[in-house]
Amino acid sequence: MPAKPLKILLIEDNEAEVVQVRESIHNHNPDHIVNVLNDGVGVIQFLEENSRSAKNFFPNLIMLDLNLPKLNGRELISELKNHPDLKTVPVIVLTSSDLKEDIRNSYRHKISSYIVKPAGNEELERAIHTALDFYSITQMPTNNQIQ
Amino acid sequence: MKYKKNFDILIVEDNPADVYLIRECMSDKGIIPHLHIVNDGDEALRFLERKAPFADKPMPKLVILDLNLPKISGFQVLEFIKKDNRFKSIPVIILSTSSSSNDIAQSYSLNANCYVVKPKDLEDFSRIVSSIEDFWMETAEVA
Repeated sequence: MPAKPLKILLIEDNEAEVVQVRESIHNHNPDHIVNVLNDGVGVIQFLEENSRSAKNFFPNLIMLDLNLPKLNGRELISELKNHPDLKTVPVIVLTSSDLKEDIRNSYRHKISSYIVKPAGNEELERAIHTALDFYSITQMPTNNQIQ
Repeated sequence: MKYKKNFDILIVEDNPADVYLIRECMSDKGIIPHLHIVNDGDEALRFLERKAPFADKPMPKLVILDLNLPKISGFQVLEFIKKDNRFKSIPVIILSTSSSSNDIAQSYSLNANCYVVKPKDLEDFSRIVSSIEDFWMETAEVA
C-alpha cells in the first residue's frame, strides 16, 4: 500500500545532505512534496506567507537540522513552537548530534521526534523511510493554516 | 532491525482487547517485559510518579495513551505529562478510536507528539503497532 503523500519542509544547509534526504523521501513515495530552506532565518516568514493561500505549500511535517547558519535549529524550534498558528506542525529533528542534552532539550521544546542521522547512505534512507512510514499513519493537525 | 534494549513503554489503555492486540502485535518478545500496562488515567499518573503499587517501576521512554479512560481522561494525563518538568520530554503517542478533528486538534494543542487512530481491521492494527515499534524503538532517539 503506497504511503499517503506528505508535504515536507526540509531545513538543512548542507547541499549534499539536502540531495540525499530529498532523494530518500522521493524513493519512499514520488508524490511526497519537498520544499527546502537552507537556513533558519526565513522559515517563519515562509510559512506565514504560504499559509495564507490554501494552494500554496504548507507542510504536514517539518524536518530540520539543529546546526543551521544564522538562526540555529534550537532557536527556530522555540520560535515555531511559540507561534500561535505554526506550533502544532510536527517537527522532526534530523541531525548528526547524538548529545543527550540536544535530544532532551529538543523534546522539552515540543518537537515530535528526534533522529540522529546514520552515517551510511543506505542507513539514512532506511531511517527516513521508517519515519515516513510512521508519520503516514498518524493524523496530522488539520487546523494549522493561518486563517 | 535492531531494537533498543530496556525500552520501557507505558501503555494507558482500559480496553483489555486492545491491550491484548498490542502485546500480540509486538514482534520482538524481548519487548514484552518492558511493556507496562495501566488501565486508567489515575494509574497512569501514579505510575509516572512511582506511587504505590508502582514504586519500583522505571521511567518510561515512551507513552502510548488512549483518550477515553476511566477516572482521569487521556487529555488530562497528556496535559499532566507535558506540563511537568520531570516528564515533558517523554514522547506521547495518542492511540484512540476517535478520528474527530476536535480530539486531534486538542491533542496537538496539548503537545501530543503524534496522533494515531486505532484501526478496526486486525491487519491494519498489526501494521500500526509494527510501525510504532520500527520508528520509536529503532530509528528515533528518545530523551
